Amino acid sequence: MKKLTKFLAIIAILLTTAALAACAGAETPAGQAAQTGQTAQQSGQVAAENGAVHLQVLWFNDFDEGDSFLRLTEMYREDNPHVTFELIEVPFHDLEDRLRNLIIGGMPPALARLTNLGPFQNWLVDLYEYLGEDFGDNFNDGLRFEFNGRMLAAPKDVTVNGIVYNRTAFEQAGVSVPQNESEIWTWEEWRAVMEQVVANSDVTYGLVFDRTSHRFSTLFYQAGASMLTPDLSASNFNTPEMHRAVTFFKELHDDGFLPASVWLGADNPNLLFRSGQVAMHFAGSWMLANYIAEIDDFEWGFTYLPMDVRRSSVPGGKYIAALQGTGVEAEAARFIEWISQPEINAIFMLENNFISQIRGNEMLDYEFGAEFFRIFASDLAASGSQPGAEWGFQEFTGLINVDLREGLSEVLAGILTVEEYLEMMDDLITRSLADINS
Amino acid sequence: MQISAKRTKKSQENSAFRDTKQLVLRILLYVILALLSVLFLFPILWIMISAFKPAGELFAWPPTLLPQNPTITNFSDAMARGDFLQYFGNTTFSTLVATAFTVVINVMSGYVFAKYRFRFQTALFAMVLATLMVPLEVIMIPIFQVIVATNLFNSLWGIIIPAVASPTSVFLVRQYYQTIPDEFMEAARIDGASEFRIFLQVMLPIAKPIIAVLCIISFMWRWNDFLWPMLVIQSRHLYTIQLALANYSGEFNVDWNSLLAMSSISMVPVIVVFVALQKHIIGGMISGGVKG
Amino acid sequence: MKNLQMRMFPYLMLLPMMIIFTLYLFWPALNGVWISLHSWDGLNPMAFLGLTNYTQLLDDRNFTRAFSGTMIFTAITVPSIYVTSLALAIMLTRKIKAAGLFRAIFYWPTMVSSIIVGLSWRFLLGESFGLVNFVITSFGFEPVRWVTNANMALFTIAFVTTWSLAGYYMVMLIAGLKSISETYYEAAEIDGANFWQQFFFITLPLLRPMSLLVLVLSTVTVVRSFPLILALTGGGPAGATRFMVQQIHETGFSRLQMGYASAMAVVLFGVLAILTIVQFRLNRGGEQDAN
Repeated sequence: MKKLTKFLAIIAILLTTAALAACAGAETPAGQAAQTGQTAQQSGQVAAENGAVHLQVLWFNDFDEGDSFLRLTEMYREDNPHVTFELIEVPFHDLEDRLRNLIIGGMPPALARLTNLGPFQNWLVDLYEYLGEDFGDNFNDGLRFEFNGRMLAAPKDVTVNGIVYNRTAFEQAGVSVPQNESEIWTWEEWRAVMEQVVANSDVTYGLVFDRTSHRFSTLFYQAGASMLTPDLSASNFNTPEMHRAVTFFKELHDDGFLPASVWLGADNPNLLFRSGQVAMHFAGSWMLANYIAEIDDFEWGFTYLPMDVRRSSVPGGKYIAALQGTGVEAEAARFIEWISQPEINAIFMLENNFISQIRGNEMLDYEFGAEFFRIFASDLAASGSQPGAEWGFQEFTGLINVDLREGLSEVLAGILTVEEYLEMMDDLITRSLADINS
Repeated sequence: MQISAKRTKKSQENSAFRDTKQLVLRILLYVILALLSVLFLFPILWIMISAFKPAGELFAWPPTLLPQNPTITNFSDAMARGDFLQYFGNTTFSTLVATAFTVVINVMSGYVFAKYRFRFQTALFAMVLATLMVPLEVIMIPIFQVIVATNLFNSLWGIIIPAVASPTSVFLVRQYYQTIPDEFMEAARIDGASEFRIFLQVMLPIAKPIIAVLCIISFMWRWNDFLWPMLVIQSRHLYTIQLALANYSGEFNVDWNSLLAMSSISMVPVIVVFVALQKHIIGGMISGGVKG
Repeated sequence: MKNLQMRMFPYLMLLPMMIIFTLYLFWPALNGVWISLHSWDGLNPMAFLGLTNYTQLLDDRNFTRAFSGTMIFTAITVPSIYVTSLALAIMLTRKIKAAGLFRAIFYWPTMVSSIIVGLSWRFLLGESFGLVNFVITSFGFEPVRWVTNANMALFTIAFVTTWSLAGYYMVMLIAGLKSISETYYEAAEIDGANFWQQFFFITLPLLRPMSLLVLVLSTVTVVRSFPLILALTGGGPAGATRFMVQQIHETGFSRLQMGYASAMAVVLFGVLAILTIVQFRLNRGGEQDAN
């Protein structure tokens, strides 16, 4: 019996230690922040009483733009010493999971850097409400920020799809890229260029193409196709234009201009281009910063996207949004207003080689590659509104994104015919729209 | 007697032939082990050595076997981008504490599952095994809610406590104890020892090899764990190494140079622990005296 | 008193583990089953559907394909892991020099994160720019389609999965082999039994508890392996290696159909449970049966 008591005591001590430790852990400052976050209403009142405001920012990094952002918050604090900032950094692929968890757990961050507003629309602050209806006038077209008459976020850095080329290989092959808008390649010329560069230089492949629906959509917009009708109410997928775009993409693979291992495997196009064995990389403006930092054994540059029946790029990018239920919504909105001023925004854009959507910051004085930014602006201006509208309809794109990409892979592998693919997608799009509207 | 004498004679006749055969087999064994070692070592070793290549050379074609211009910038750049000493400390603390708890709790459970008969035993064991099969991916949201409710959010205890009960470990210990005869317990019971004392003084020392295995595995799990830290930790000063490594991946860019450099460093403690403990995996039993 | 102690002892020993399991796994898992009866995007209010998610699964071409793919992958990989780790364990429990070094080498791949394992094998087996194909083509042969041929891709991921897990199970099997008393082998030696006779009549039967462990654990691990496959083939070519866990992931987190993804997860759980029960039966509960 004595032994039993002793044993029980040991178990009890173990469990108590664990429990105490757990509580002690929760008493760290961060733990307190979490607890106060749970009772957001209260913490908001507390903040109002003693004037101190703590803004948590959910953030992810492509490079080190978080450091750049923190420097901006320091600037903000010079005039607003009562505000403190805390950057919660997560890897990009965990961003939305984390935000969902924080919202459900009752402790949403004050601000979040997002690429996709759709799933969170019911939880974001309407910036019009705090900053007035005319706040939206500060931004150009591009990233959509207004949903059902509410401004859910401020566009921060905009990206456009684009082509990087291996200048060393092009020079070796004696091929030049378009120097101005009048020299832009048609698809057939583009294909001919791939053939020439592969034949007359050290590269093995003409092109690598990011494996995403978003990047592929550039081609079908150029062919005059789209996923939806202009009013976004019905499917427009099963058309001769779409057929032409898919067929062209399949031919590029079948003819060996593109390595199969990207769309049928998991090869990383970025790394393949860095190997110097590929003439062009179909990616986007964001590759600029990456390749500045990481390519030092050959010359490279950006060039105009090719055209079919029309020119088109596809915009994308990152927003900054404020969350509801934090008790500091007004302060968060005020910070968004401050950081969206052209001169403040310009600092962030220039430090990180980003494209701005703020009116007046269309053409900044970039330290590196000003000519590339002119190309991006030209491609974007020629794109029309359909790409931005369709990819801005994020409730919809979330539902079809994976199938669009996977189905295309099946076409490339010869499992689906182009016709079957168009019918399958047409059907899926019609069903998805019905789901959204129900 | 006669029979065994006959055998000895026979074996002596064959011994010369046997010795050469043994020698050939032995050489063959070493050759196989050496070839396998290359297969197991080369892929990662090559990648680790690549951490000393400058950015341009890392993905150059054709690939270089050894760095042509070795540099430590990958390491110094990575170190500059975060307080790795702090992350290292956090990881060490949570790993050591979690490993200690894991061993205690799971050896207790595995032992009774193997050596006792009690009501609901099968049901309880089935429940333990069932936890092995739950796909955690889809229940992350409910798990997160429990973490918040039990006050473990954003605390190192939140990556320690939920993970110390491990179905794999319970199962491992149970299976191991099944290979050990019950006679030791019977003998001690006749001597009037309490059940707890039998466990502590008789059965626990016998389990030394499996405790060594458990320490090695648990240390590795916790050191490399990404799932729980990702779910639980929010503040930078509580980061584990794996969280810091994960943050090298953005939407469009993975900082391979820093990732390779820091992963190489972060592997060292796991290797040290393995080398230090692996000799205990073997040899425990023979001295434990189960012979006969 | 003694009797009470005997009866209570097992439960007390199990208590800490059970508390943690209940809180952090059983309860969330039950929640998951509840979610599977709903339509839910992971954030906004749930809508009750009943069993609709489950009936929908039956018509889902992608799901049935992922399901059968998972089964084939498991059927290839689990035996491959078991045989490899057992072979390694047997070689390393013989009296050889530097056994500790070899054990460390074979265990090494286990310690590396799947991101790094994926990257290193892509360096080697990259189709266009991999070292192995570089060597093959420099001898004038056709490059091997490691990942863009469906059968080859299956082989590739089975091989790399085996490579990355064999050392882990090897350690468990070494502990199991060492718990078998030397006397059995000494007796067999005297009886003139050769290596294979000893293997089949002593080693395998006495190793049964540990074999069951390795088979069950590796089945569960293989069925649920995801990051490594994602890094090696991305589920390709054209979905040939897209298995259930990836399907669940894409459904839950890309399409935001959390309820439907949970229904898939419940099915996955059921499949694993059946496989485990079968393995227990086949191994007679993992009891040793040698005398």
